[in-house]
Amino acid sequence: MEATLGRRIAILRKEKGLKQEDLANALDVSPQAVSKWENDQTCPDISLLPKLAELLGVSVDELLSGKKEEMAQTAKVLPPEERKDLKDMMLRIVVDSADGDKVRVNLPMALVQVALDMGMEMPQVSGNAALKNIDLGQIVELVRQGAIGNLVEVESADGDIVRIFVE
Amino acid sequence: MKIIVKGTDHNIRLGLPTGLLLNRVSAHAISKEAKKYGVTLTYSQTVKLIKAINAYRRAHKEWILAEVSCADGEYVLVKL
Repeated sequence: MEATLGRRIAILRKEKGLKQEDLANALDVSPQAVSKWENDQTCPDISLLPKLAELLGVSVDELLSGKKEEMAQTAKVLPPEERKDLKDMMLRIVVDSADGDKVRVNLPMALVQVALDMGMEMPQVSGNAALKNIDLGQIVELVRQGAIGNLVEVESADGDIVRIFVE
Repeated sequence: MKIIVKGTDHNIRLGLPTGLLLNRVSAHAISKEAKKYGVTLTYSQTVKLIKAINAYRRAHKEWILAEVSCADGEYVLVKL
């Protein structure tokens, strides 16, 4: 993730499709204040951090440290009133190979759904045996039923660890 | 689209117009190339995928599609 707090706020805000005005209104601050945060001229007041993190879809710790808490969220099922629209969700595939390589792929759930609806066939991804038998259709169905978090964790015989989580 | 490739002896940053790379014209080439990797994609399916990608891109800026950090220090980032 980006090195400065301001840069992280800017990137996360854009990922959420929010304007500076939207963030400002939600936090009851001025758009100029948000602009100053994003340009690292000032920092958000500490009392705003929990709500700011919630709006940006991260934890306060991740917002401040920049370290992604990818594995922190265990799988859970949300009640219908708390579920996000599928088109706003992201499917993240994380591969930590035994050789020390790290791969992160972020696929919008809407895109995955389009591919599945077309009956698109895909062979094993990036030559990783651990991904070979993963059924994305079942994962999408789980997400429709409200599942989020770390849905798949597989370790291949070669020592590669593959995780699929949805947020 | 931004592509960043960093290595021990090279540092490449490419800024490419995504609209130029993902459109109906390139859809032919994409579906053809995909077959080489065992992915079955017709032209119309490719167009649908491109539309979905572009719709998501418009709604969500700074979408990091893929990020790779290799043990030997190589780093690759693809951002749409």
